[in-house]
Amino acid sequence: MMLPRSRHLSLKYKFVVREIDGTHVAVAVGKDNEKFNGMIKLNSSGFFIFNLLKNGDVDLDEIVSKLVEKYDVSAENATEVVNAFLDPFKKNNLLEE
Amino acid sequence: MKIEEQLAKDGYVMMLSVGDSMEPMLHQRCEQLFIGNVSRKLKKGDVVLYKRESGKYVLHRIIREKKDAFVIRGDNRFINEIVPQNLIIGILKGFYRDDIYIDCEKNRKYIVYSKMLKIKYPFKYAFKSITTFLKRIMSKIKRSL
Repeated sequence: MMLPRSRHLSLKYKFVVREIDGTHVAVAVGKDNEKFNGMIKLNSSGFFIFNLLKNGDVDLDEIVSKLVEKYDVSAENATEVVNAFLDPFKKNNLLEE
Repeated sequence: MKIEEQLAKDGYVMMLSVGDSMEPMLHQRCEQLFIGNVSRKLKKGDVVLYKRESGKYVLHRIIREKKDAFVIRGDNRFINEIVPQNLIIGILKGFYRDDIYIDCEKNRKYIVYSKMLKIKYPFKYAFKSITTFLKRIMSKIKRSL
């Protein structure tokens, strides 16, 4: 599912990220846990994108450009990665747009 | 994905504490719990995750071992439950309180707390019994007036 590039995104709930066995795992905290009581496993690029969303309002272009800078990949590749990452978040209603 | 499926897939699950049955150690939606598969023999003092026949998941402490089952109770509860070994699906490995990780196998304060429960419990039970008895007496007196 492709998101329009200009839309600003942030996480709908407050999450905390912990490291378990070398993997980053996020859970919603406080009252938000009543609305989303799952666990999100993040690989390294997922952790990077998740933190961008967690830290504030970002748009797709910003996420893509930061991913290009960090991982030295093409914008096309980065866009694919970002969209694939955001797809389950959108399906599970975890994003504020 | 269900908790059992996640445990089978990755060997762990992270979730928030729910309820007050394990206070003062765990509080409603405060601590993040790291629950792993049971990879060793369970013993008294272990905090285990099991699933009741109702489908409800419960995280309580083993207080006694029996043949093929355990006597289990919440730290803030007075009612024991006999849980067959095959209903236990995970063990609490540790938990985060604020940003501090408390390892249930290694954290000294936690180990002392766990051992102290055994000493504290009879006094706590006695206190609760006395207060319950006094409440009943007061209630009878009020009704007779």
